[in-house]
Amino acid sequence: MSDEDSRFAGLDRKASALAEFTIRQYRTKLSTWVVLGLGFVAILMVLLFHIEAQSSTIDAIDNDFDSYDFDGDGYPNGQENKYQTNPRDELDHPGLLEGNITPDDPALYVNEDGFDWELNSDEIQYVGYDDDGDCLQPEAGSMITDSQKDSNDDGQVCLIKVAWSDLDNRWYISSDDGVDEDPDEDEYYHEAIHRSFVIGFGKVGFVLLIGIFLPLFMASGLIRQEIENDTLHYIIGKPIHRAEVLIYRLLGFLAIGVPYVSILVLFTAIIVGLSAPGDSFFRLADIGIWLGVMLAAWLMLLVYGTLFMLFGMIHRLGAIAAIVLGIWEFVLAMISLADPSLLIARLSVVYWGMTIVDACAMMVYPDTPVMLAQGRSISSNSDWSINTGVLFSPDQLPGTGALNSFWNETALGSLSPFLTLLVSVFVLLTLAASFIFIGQAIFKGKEIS
Amino acid sequence: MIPDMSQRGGGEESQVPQADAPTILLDKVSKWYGSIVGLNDVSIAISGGVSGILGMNGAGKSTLFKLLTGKLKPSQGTIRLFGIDPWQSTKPFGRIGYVSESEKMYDWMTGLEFVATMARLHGMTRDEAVKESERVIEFVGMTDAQNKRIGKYSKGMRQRIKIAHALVNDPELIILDEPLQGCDPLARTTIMNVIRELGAQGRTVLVSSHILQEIERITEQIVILHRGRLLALGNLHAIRSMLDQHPHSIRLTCDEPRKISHNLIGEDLVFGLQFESEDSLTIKTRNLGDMHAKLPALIHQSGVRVTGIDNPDDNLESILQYLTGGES
Repeated sequence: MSDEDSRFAGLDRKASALAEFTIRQYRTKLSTWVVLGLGFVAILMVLLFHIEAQSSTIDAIDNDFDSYDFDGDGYPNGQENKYQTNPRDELDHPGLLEGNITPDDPALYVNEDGFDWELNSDEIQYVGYDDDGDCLQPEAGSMITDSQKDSNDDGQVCLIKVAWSDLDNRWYISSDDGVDEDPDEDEYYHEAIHRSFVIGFGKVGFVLLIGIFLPLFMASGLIRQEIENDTLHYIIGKPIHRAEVLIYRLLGFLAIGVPYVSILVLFTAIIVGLSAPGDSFFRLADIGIWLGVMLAAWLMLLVYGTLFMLFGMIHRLGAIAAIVLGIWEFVLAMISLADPSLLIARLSVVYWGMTIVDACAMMVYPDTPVMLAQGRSISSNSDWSINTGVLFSPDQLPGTGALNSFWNETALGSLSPFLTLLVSVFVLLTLAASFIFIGQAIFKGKEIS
Repeated sequence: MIPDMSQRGGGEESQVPQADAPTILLDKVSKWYGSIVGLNDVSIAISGGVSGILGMNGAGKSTLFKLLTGKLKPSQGTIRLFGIDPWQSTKPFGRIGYVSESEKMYDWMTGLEFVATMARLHGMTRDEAVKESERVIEFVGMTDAQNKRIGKYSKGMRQRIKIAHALVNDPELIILDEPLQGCDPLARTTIMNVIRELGAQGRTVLVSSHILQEIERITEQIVILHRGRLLALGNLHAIRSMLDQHPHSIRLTCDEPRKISHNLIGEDLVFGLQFESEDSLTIKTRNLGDMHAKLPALIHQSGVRVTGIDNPDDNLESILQYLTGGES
């Protein structure tokens, strides 16, 4: 074994000894178990909200009044529309037509035409399917001309034109009359709430709250408590550079914190995956976001852990500085959620962690912008409503607001999700490295009395 | 109980050979805490043997030790351990053992775990660490209690484990800050034997204390610090005998102090008598040694039952008073 080898072996032994010591020290502290336990209980409680939201049902809304029977002839408006009879004339109804048509159950005309969209990356696409036939009017035969079926004048019969505008960074939707005009509120709500839960819980629960509180309670004392307890000399009186002491202590913290958040995220992913909407028993697709949440939470522990350890090392009142910083981070996180376009949020650490989650969400749920556009399109004053003849609807589909609060596709402008992810990870690693570097310089010059 | 100290722990620190450098070298070292002087212009070189660092509380003993162990940076002057600046480099720490005056330890660990963890911080493997720890724990006589939690140790046991931890890397220099403070007589004796043994092995040992008799039982080589200054350096006996020429007190505890005073009053060595209470008498003398030699005969003549003889001013304060010309 060369000198160089044995030096590294010695370094490695000291590193593992100090990290292991730090872990054992955590295990003996009641505060560790209280903090970890509270984190788990908090996560459990939030999970109950998800299960509750997913098991509740949203009352269906008949957005286009097709289930009503305005003229009282027994045939619902939707059925009369299909047969081209006048829904407001009781003497004109499908029963008078050939074939002895009987009235349909009005319930068939609630949520009778949901979203049937598959988008690709083209800028202009034609989507949708007229489930209930009130645009295609097959029963009416050739009585209806193609131009009547193309009420938005885009040259396509009974389809919805979806156009992406780079300029406004949004989708423009224009629909032919009667296409996808009465979506299933319940289905939309559960999907929207599920997505907002995954993204929002990832960003606020794991990245912001666990990301700050765990280091606040567990890393602030890494050096400070040794100073206060008058035991630091046992550690720094050894042939280990003080710069290394900081890193090995931090490693001890991460050795507890990283598995802890990983297990919490996986646990959350499993529970949410089981109670998520979808045809399968377990919703596997979200895993991509949960992995992003996990990565972001690790990096939060690293960056905040470093910072708070240094605050405690530098001054007796370092924990107060840590709390002040925590409040700053919290405020900026809220600002970033309220208005993602405000760049001041970039002055926080948490912003970059949240952006990792946003980037992963963009990769896993690329159709969310369209989903949001759909949710808003139902509003009675949108282009959509005017074209589709929606007569009654809430401002937006239930769940749209929640999804909109947590969804942020423009964190780093028009950068692709993957690049956004890379840049955020890079920023956080750079922050951690520079904090460690500064901290080492301070610790090296610090007198321990 | 001679331990095998031949194998070096933590041998990965490649040292620039400093064969001729003294173990400890302080050159005009001062340390101020703001406007308070911790150490004032101290120069010493020490190599080998046990040295007692004597001084009252606040004399600068702990400051000296913290400077030596790289916890503090000198305000002025240079410090070298084996020729290396301990503030700049951690290399000397592989060759020293330090027992702090602080009683704080990791109470949740067992003695063996604590010493072994500290050994691993010196770069030993897990197995080496346990082996070396058991060796030094035996050396301080703590083998029976090594698997108990430190939190359950008595003061003396804690002190001995602290000493064991400082020995685990087989150090050439051992610094003990008030190692006897608060220990029971048994632990005291054990620790004193350990310190003498370490000195006999050729190591450099620094022991601080504010109790003269403690140091006297361990070593003759002393350093006296007073208000941050180096007041005296050398052989305790030499200082002692100078001191003996000066007025001294002997206190007798007895039934009839007035009766015994008749036998004492005519003695040349006695220049004053003082009755402090019903059952004690203080004799003022100019030669402590001669007075002690004569005293048994005088007591015998008087026929008074004497239950105690002690020297109330045979202590550090008296030496300091003498050395500083009474200013303290």
